[in-house]
Amino acid sequence: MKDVRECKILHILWDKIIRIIIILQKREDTVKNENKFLSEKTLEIMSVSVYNVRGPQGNDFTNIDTKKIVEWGIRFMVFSSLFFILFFLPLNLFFYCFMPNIKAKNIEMLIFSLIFYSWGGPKYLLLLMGMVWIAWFSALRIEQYRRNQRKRKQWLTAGCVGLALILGIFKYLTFFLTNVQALFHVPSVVPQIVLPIGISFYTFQLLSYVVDVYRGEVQAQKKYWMLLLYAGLFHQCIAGPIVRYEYVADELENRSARLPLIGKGIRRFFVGLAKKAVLANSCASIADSLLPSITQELAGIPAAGLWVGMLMYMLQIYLDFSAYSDMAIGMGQMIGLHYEENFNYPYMAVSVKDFWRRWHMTLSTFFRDYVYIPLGGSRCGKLKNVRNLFVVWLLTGFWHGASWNYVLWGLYFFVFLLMERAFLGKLLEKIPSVFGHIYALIVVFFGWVLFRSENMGNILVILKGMFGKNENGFMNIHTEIILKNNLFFMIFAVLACTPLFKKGKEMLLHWYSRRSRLAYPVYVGQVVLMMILWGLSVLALVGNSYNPFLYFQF
Amino acid sequence: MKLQVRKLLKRRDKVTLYLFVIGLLVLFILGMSIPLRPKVSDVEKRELERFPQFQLNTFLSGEYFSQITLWYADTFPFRETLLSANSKVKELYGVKTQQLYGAIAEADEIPEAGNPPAAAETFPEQQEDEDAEPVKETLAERQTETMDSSISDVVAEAAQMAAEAGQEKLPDATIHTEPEVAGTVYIADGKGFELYYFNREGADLYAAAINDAAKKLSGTAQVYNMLVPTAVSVCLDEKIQENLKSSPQNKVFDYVYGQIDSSVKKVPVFDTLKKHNAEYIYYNTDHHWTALGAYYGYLEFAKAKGFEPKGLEEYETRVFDHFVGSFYSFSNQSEVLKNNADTITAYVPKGTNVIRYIEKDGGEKKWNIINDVSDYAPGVKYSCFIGGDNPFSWINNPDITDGSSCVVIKESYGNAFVPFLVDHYQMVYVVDYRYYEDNLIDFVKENKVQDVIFLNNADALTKRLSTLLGGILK
Repeated sequence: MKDVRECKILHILWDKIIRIIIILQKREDTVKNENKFLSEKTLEIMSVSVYNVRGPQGNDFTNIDTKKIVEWGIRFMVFSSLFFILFFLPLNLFFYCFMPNIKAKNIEMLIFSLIFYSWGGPKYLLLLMGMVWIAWFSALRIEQYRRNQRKRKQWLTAGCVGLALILGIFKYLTFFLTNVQALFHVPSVVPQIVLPIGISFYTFQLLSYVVDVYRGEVQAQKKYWMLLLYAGLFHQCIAGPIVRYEYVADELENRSARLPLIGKGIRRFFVGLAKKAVLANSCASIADSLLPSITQELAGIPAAGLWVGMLMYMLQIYLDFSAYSDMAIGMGQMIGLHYEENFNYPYMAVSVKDFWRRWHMTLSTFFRDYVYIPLGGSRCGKLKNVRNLFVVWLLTGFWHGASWNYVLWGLYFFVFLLMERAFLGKLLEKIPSVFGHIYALIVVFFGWVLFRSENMGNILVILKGMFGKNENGFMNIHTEIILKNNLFFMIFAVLACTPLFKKGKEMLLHWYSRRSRLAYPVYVGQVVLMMILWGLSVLALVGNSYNPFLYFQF
Repeated sequence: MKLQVRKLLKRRDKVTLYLFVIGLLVLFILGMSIPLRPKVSDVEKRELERFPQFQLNTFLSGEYFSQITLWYADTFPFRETLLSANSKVKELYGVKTQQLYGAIAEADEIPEAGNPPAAAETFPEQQEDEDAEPVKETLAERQTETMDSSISDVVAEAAQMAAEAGQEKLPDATIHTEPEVAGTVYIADGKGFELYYFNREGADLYAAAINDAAKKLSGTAQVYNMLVPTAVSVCLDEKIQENLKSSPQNKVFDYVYGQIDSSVKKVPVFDTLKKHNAEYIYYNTDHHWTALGAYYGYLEFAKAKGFEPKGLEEYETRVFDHFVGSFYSFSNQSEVLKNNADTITAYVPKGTNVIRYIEKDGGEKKWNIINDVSDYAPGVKYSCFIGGDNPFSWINNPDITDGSSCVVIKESYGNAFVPFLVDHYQMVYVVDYRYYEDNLIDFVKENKVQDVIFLNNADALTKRLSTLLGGILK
């Protein structure tokens, strides 16, 4: 009897949530139709400050890709904005220090996180809170029916389906309907749903939480606001890493930040900041001038320009993404939270498999633990195993964005992983590892070509142009000037993607310890470097220079 | 040893923490120092973001917050110093002997001179479908327009304030309206060049507008037309121009002149300027020609009209140094340009140095033809000529009483040119067709103006500017 009532309550709530979403979405649409998404003036100012830096795009706002990036870049607070690093973060840390106990500290973090999240429009806060509520409620029920396997399963399904459904509506409905429309000419109007920022990241965190509770790996969180803190913590809510509840559950309730950890966190934060503000943004500006998103312009770029542009894009994606993780991890350490590492020099990989062990590790392990293994993993028939891999890579591709090119990108890796499994892996082990490096880099490089544009036509143009099939030669003055102007920077950016600097530091430390001397210069150097990176980052961020946000699709 | 290392590590982390706290504190306070925040950018010539007003709808859509973020970064204290420091850092990125800002676009093909225009001969009505305009054109058309309007507004404001304060000269009283945007700027040898992309429709419309005027004024006044090339065609090697896909302006002018009626006297200045291209006829850091360049234009005009031009040495000169023009801000404060700042030499007309003009808001001002701009911001010094861009100006030369008069219909290139005409007419009228709202034909007829001089640079041959030009010739 009780269950029926609960189901009803849930049903009603669900209905309410959907209604709210529809209402919110409608408002968004009208706002969009009036073209007031950003005021004209803001756009104009952006057009100047943004495009002056990035150059070649001109101030053409008919282009969707560019527009989206620009809008997202300023529509919410990013770590790499002056406002965040010089206003929000100092206030956050200041109040944090003066909170008397862990509960007060947590409340303070929660308040700041909610403010942070609502920066892109307070309405999405409701969505975040609603999704956390679903996870919280279903996890509690799962735990309540510890002995009733059937009920537990029902609640697990309810929770997961609820979360996945909301993600599906906001992230994939538009894409799905667009495709349906293209095939069957219904519905006549496809609603343009705006993707709430960070939804892919926190949905996955919540999913992992519900499943872990079901598996008995963690206890369900009794307090709703603590779960909200976990999912909405501004450190990782928007761009990862996907932190699993079990890793931070204890630290959320009980943590202490010790000096070594704080120092490490601070330095890590500034490494991340500089990586984003100085390196990634500059890479982006070069990549965008060599890979314009207007097809006709793209076709006019000579082969060398496309190769260099793609290389810069490849560097940008890594530097940008890993910079966000660095900053998140660093900020976590400042207050005593340990987040998982997300990147481990992915461009040093010796195979595609190795690449995925080093790239966005929290996502890969998520798919491994919550999709691949539950499906049977590799401990089943060969055919089933291939199916499992296929599902995982399909989802990985899809997770990165609701567009066919991302799906293609995921399946592209699936093919190479299958080949490595079949024969390539063994071959790579036999030959010198340098070949493995080259092979992996080439595969990844062309992977990013697929990733670069949602417009399949553009992808083809890039691929053709790279091999001189666009009939415009190898080099032109435009490309030549960009190359010359950024030569030293490009070399440095490539080196920044390798463990060179880390290795260098380790070797120095080793050298000193072998001679039983204190590595004084190394430690002083670390602090000095931190200050330099800080200064450079502030310089690079003043005056609204080009600061794209890559994850608006995630 | 181990203990020592631990101690050292502890010290390192302590120092890290202290520096972090102090740094955050300092920067936080700096960021909060609202009075230190600049409101305008002298370099970019625009008003910076304002702190947004609270509105429920912008709050709900998130725009309110994003504007705060934008405001915070855009008006950060000492932004100009920091930006310039950042561009110094960027100098280390690579070899910067040549630079390019903006994309290389595709120009229309230039038809042979004498080809019939693609558009209708007569000037079309003004109802144009704005939305249907190609992207390229909107890019091209913006540049001259915005650059000049910002400068003229600066001057207008300065003038107003000067008048209020009862003094003639004012230190940097600038207000900045629109940002300066040029199409594509190529920098080499410390000089900026704005690339030129031919737009056929704009050129055809321009020729049609001039023909229209000539027809309506036939028998009343003599029409002159002077198309002035920009630096890129005159000073840059032809091979480089071709590589950069910049259209050759001499061919463009041939094409346009070919369409213009023979009753219009064409003043060819391209070859003269080309001949003198080793001289200082264009600014390094700005898209305008210098007074010297304009003087060569004046010599050609004298030839066309048939009078004896004055020698340069006859004029009293004024020199204003440290002019850092539009290319500097467009290139995000390129160090190369900054280190190659311009010096403006202006020649004061002998008859008078007084000009009167109507401002855009309708007010009447008395001003200097060559105004002292030494104390103006480095970016706006081109406004030393005839008070910048105003809808309508007039100069009465008391030394001449023969009733002679001319009207110059121009965009900002005309500003450096007009002072040379002063000593040849009793009345020189100046019309900036981008702001003038009356009917010019009627004006010419009513005032019995003898010479109607159209002066435009190549970048003005766009659909929008030509449409504006046609609009005042109804």
